[in-house]
Order: sequence, then structure tokens, then C-alpha cells
Amino acid sequence: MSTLNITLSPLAVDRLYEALSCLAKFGDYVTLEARRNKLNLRTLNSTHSAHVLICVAGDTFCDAYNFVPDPSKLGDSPLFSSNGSQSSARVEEGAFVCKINVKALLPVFRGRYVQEAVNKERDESLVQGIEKCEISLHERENRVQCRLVIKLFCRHGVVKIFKLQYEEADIMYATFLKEWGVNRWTIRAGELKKWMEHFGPKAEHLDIGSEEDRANFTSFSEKIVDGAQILKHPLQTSIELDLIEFHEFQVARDTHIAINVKDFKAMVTHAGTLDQVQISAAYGEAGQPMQVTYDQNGMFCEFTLMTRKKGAAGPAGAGKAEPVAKIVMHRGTSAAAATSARAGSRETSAPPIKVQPQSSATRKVNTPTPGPSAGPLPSSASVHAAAPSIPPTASRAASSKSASGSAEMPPPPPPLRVTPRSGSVSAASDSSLSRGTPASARQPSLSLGFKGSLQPRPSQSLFLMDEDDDDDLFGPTPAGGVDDGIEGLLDDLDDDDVLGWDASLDSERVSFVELQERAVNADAGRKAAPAAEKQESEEGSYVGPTQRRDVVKGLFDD
Amino acid sequence: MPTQLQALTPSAAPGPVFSAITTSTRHIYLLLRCIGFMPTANVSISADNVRFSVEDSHSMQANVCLTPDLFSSYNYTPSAALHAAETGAPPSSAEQFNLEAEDDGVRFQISLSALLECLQIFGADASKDRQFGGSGGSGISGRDAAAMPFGRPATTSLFDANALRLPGTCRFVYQGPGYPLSIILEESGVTTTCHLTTFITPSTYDLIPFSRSSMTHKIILKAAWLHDALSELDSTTPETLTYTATTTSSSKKPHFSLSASGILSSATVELANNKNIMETFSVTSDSMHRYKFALIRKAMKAMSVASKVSLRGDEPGVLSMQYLIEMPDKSSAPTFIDFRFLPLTDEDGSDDDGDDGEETGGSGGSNEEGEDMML
Repeated sequence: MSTLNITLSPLAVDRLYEALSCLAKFGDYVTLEARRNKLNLRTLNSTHSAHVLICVAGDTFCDAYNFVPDPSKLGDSPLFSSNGSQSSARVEEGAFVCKINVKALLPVFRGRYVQEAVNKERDESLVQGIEKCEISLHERENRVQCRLVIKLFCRHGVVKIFKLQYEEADIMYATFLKEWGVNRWTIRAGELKKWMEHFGPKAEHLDIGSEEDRANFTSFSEKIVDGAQILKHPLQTSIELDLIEFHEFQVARDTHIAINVKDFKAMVTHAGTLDQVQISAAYGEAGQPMQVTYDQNGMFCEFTLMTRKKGAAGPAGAGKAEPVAKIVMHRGTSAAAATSARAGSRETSAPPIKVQPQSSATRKVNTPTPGPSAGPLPSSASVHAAAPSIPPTASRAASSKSASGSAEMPPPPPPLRVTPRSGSVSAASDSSLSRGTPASARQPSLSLGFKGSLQPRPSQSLFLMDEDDDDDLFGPTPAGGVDDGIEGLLDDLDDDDVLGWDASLDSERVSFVELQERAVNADAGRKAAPAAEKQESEEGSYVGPTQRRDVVKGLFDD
Repeated sequence: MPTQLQALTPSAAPGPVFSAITTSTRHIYLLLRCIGFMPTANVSISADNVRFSVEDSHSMQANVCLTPDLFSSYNYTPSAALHAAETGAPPSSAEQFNLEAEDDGVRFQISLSALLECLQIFGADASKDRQFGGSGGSGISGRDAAAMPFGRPATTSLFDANALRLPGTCRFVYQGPGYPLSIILEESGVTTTCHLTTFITPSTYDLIPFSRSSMTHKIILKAAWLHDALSELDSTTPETLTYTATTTSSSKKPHFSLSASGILSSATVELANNKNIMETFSVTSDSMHRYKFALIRKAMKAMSVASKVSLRGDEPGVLSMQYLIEMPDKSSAPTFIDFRFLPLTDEDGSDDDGDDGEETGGSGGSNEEGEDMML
């Protein structure tokens, strides 16, 4: 039986709470992985587009840390390897892994740290706050009750004991190859946090780009009003930071990626709770994951966020957002960074919020294809140019199966490089106009694309970097056509954009089928996960219908 | 079911059975709000106090006693009551058989939620007042507020309801069975009158009997700790509360512990016999009982405003909680709110409500007990 004993100071408990509340923004469950000298907390969001790892060092973070692996498990392959053979194989021997509902964990650690009372009298009456926290694992063979026990020692001899249920779990790893991190920047978390509030709650995606001497963060949304090509929230907020603010900034020219804005905010919010921490981001091209890391005082945080594939509809080059793990593809139009000409001076770094009608971007696009408006992504454009030419063929087969991973979808037609939008437009309400053209053109195809795009994928596939991903992104993807009946699906996909996919579909046809087969095979043996259902509705970045339930890992999968 | 009396004939008015005057309704409101979880309350008026009782599921009761020193004047005229009782409604069976009822008390039932609302009209609720005063103030002095850089706070403080309120008087009048309970507020020449319909107390109403002779433990501790412990347990969304008190002599470490378990987790809070928490800790025999958490939760409002709580349990498991609430604005004697809970019986237990009425009631009203508690 594994033995785990951790002692935490009140301050560490508070930091643990911050970490957990950050994890809670991504998923309902936290996977605990205890190793000899560290404790890993992981969460994978419901669409598998974001993976968060928070690692707590046994020596520097905890007052005491003792983990003795279960001798019987040493050397053994993990218990549950049926589905995620690859990921589980990576479980360190003997590591104790379990999954706990984050809702059970949060109240245990909430509000435990109270600043030292200034006067004695107050201290006497102070009820909250603890003096010490002990976490231990009560695991016994042949015992029905295995619990993670958290003891909080409060003032005056009051002891609070929480016994949490846990489940056996498999570990998910997010794959991030070093060579992907060609673009990197580092910035102080506090600096970034200052601007986060400007991204409205309804914004879905965040485009990160740079030009000249400034970095640009633009939030945008692609939700459209039912039955009309009108953006529900035609507000884009663009924030530009002078590169002076960055500790390091090495980004290839005109690189744009788009990620889920909520994920980014959750991350920055957590980083903001740490004092003066530097956030480092590394990413490649759109469609490849982005990895953000920071660490402080024994807590190491790593966020792997999938970026939208490039070429998806959108003014900017960032295409659909493909979740970190390549599970779901989002179609993304990233707003090209609207840049108003600004002085490079430091003052300017405080970016005014610009509202841009999305339409402005689309109008400028010269894309020949009805596909997404081209964004400033010259490099990608060349790659994708061929894609549209491929005739949609296999789409039908794909459509018949529900696909889980839209990720498989071929990238939208290559965005032609169009002149980047310059000049921010004041808030424009008439997105409908601008969007109308592209949308209408694409709509039929889009629906098709969805169906075809959906692929059942084993959840793990996300994390393993595999060929699929690359193929999808850059390979010629002849893809598929769309079948009737797809339209129905669209209704369900409330959050997904409907626009701009057709081109990509065609291009991806071939790979798509292959993927599907693979996915189906991988699927065998999987069971529906109840947990998945819950999660599905939560995340903003998910694609509801696209993901098959059996693809999602759930409570009883193993 | 309560029946509304229709005997509202002014001609028969024999003069008020009860009348009391206070200059502020705030403390009364705060007290009654603690038991405001039920819509109706039983009221009994005696020379010693006015008692409000509520009951939920026949397994918990809460009582608040408003003592004469909460009022600037307190008049109770039992003769009028008797007179009215003779000529008016027949005495309820509860009156006749409840051992704990004061013989000379008048009893009726009113809508507690309506009463609380009336008291709010009179500005007892400070938070509501702030909203009112704030918005009204900014409307009236909008220009001033705009001119001041910190207009908003200034407005709220300047036009704080309490600051603006002129001294007024609040009068409670009850003329006898069949008459409404009238609350009359006079404030700078404006008189507001509320008539709350009274109902006959249902005959089934009895105090949950608490047997002091078989008391197993008595614990007095700071209410904040109990509140903290219960809110801790509440986070697990439990069904039941397990309440354990063990004698100091027993080898087990926790003297007093509360635990609950929900779907995802279970939680236990152990309170040690520490002078900083416990004022009194006397356990004569170990006891462990379970209570419905949803009912215990209803006492949490009282817990949050009280300074001390006395917990007592008797052999059958009836739990009595008495909260001592110090009046913030007055130097008057503290007031007590009394809660009683019936325990859950074991699943295989024979009788579900067996505890109800099994014991003969403890003597005396809750007020007396409250005073005992302080000794």
C-alpha cells in the first residue's frame, strides 16, 4: 500500500487552494499523482484542449513530504492500461494516482490562511485559520473505505478532518515537443493580469500576435445568432503591449495563434496570485499547442493549450482553435490584431481597448475561396493554398460516424495573406454585414464539414503528438464533403462557428478517413464516461456534438 | 389548521391585553429573524415575556423570548385576557394541557414572515435601509453626490437611514383573542399601523420535551466556533449530522465532535476542551446522536449573531441549543433563543417519533433555562 503523508503550512495551503481553484476552471476532476518527491495535480478539460499540470515540490513547498510507493505496484504495469496504453505506460512505477472531484477539494482548503492577528484579543476570538495541515492517504487492501484524509489543525485544539473519496485514475500527459516552441516570450504575470479584465466574459478566443515592436492580444467571438450570419457578440478587444514589457520576446513575424480566452484568463489569474512571477509562453504555429509555464517557491505550473488551427475563418490567421490536445477543432477567426499606429513608447503600452467590428477584417480579405477571411498569415497561406483544390470525397463516411475530434478537420482554406487590418475600428455593431458574405457562401459547406470533421478519437490521442495532427495541419487534406443531415448537427453546436469551414473540409478528406478508422479502433473497449457529460457543457471551447461520449474518459472507464 | 377568528367587533374591545412600546425595532427584528425560517409562529404572551415559537417537521422547535426590558414599557393585563377568553374564543386544548404553557398566558399564532416585513418597514433592517437611504439620497442630492469625488460613500453615510431617522416609537398592541396584533409606529408625526391577523394556536403544538433529569451533557462554547464547525460540515452537503460528546475520563481524545458526510467527502470537526472555546464542559455520559442537518442548519443564523451557545442533550437524544445574544445597542440583559431538536432514530430503530412526548416536559420556559445556563 502506498503511503503518503504531507504536512503543509497555512500559507502553502492557501497557495494550494489558489492552484486548485485554477484547476477547477478547467475541469471537474483533479488528478493527483504522488511521486517520491513531488505531487502533481493535473486537469484536462472536457474538450481535451487544455491540460494543466501543477507540480508541488515535496521539499520546498511542503513542510514535510513522505511518499512510499506501494511495493506491489513497483515494476508492475499500471492497472489500467487498456485504453491509454501510451499514457499509462508513462506512469512512474509505484506512483500513486487518483482522481478527486475538485468540488470536494476546494472547500477543504478555502480560506485557511489568515494573517497573523495584530492584537491578542482578536486572536482569541478569531475562528478561522489553521496552524497546520496534514494530508495522508488511508489506503488499505481489503478495506472498503479508502480515503484521502486531510486534517486541519486549528487554533485552540480544534481539529477538522476531511475524508475525501477518490477514484483510480489514469494519467494524461500533454505532449509538447521542444521544437514546437520556436516562438517564445516571457512577461511578468502582474503586467499581463492588469489587462485581463478587458476581455469581456463573452469573448471566446484570444488571438496572440505581434508586429513590429508590440505584442497584440485580441479577443474575439465567433458565435453567431441562430439562423443569421450575425455575430452574437461582435466585440473584439485588442490589447497591445509594448515589447519593453516583456522580459523576452522572440516570435516569428506575423505569427498568430488563437486560444481560448477563458483558459488564458484562468491561467493569468492564477499566476497573478504568485508574487512577481514570470510567465513564459512557447508555441509554434497555429494548430500546435502552446505551452505556458511559471514556477515559484516549489510550485511549478504548466499549461498546455491547444491553439486553433490556422486558416480557419477569421480575419487573423489563427484558424480554428484546436484544443491543446488535439481533440476538438474550433474554427477560429482570430481577429487580426487591429493595430492602431501607436508610438512605441512605454506609455502606449497600456493599450486602449479597441473595439473592432469583425467585419472590417473580412472585407479586406481577398481570399478567392469562400473560406475564411484571410488573416495576416502569409506563411500559412502558401501551405494551405492547395487544400481547397482537393475534391471532397470521403466525407460521407466520416459523417456517418460521429466524430469526436474536430481537430481532425482540415484546416480551413488557407488564409491568404491580406493586408493586415490596420486601424482599429470603433465598436461596430454591424458585424452581420461584413460577415454575411463569407458566411453565406460557406454555410452549406460548413455544415458538411462539421460532420465530416467530427471524429471519434481516443482521448489520449490528444496528448500524444501524433502524425494526425501534423497531417491535418499542414498536409494536403482532401476532405470531405458534407452530407445532408449535417445541418441538424449544427443546431446543437451552438458555440461553434458555423462559418468558413468548407474549404478546409475538402482539403482534409483523405487524412480524415484514415483518422477515423484509427479512432474507431482506438475506441474499442471504451465506455461512456458519465463524467464527460457534465463536463461537456461547461467549457466554452468544446464542441458538444463532435465529441463522442465514449471518447471521453470517465468515472468508470477503466 | 389555524382558523382565523372573525370576532373583530370593536364594540367588545375590553382594552388591550398586551401593549408594549419600544423606541427601536431593530433588536426585535434581529431576534425574530433568527427564527424566521418558518412562515408562521406561535406567540404566547405572559407577564414575564412574549415568546415566539416556530416548529419544523415536528422535530425541531425554536423559541425567542422578548423580555420586558427589551421594551421601554410593557403592560400585560391578564384580567383582560381572561375576560376576553371567557367571552371570546374557547381556550385551546394546547393551553389546557401543555405543561410548559404559562397558565395565564395568551396564545395565538401569527404570520412570522409578515411580522418581519412589518418590522422592516420600520427600518429595522439596516442593510435594506442602506439601500433605500442610498438610492433616495442620491436622488435627492444627486448634484451634491456628483460634485463630490467620493460622492457615493458620502451619500450613503450622510443619508444613512439611522442618521436620518428621527426618534420614533413602536407600539405593539394586542387586545385579546380575536383581535389582530397591531404594530403602530409613530415617527415625526407620521403614524403607520399594521394589523397582523392572529390565528388560534393549533392544539397539536407542544414543546419538545427536554428531560433535565436525564441530561447527559452540557457544553457552553462560543457560538462562532459552532458556526464555523457547522459551516465546515455544510460544505459537504450532508444529510445528517452526527453529534458526539464523550466524557473527559474516557480514553477517547475528542470530547466533542461533529461530523457529517456527503456524497463526495465526509468531514469531522473536533472541538477540544479548551478554555478559549469552551466555557463549560460537563459530560456525565457518552452520547452520540444523529440529527437532520437541514434542521440544524436553520439555527445557523442564530449562531452567527450569538456570542455563546449552550448545548445540552438528554438521554433520549433531544438536543437543546440555547443562544445568548447580546443586544448591540443596549446595555440591557442578553436575550436567549432556544432551539430543540429531536434526534434521528437508528434505521432499525423501532419508533421514528418515539422521542416526541415520551418524556414529560422539562419544567419552566426556555427563558428560565436560559438564565440557568448563565449560572
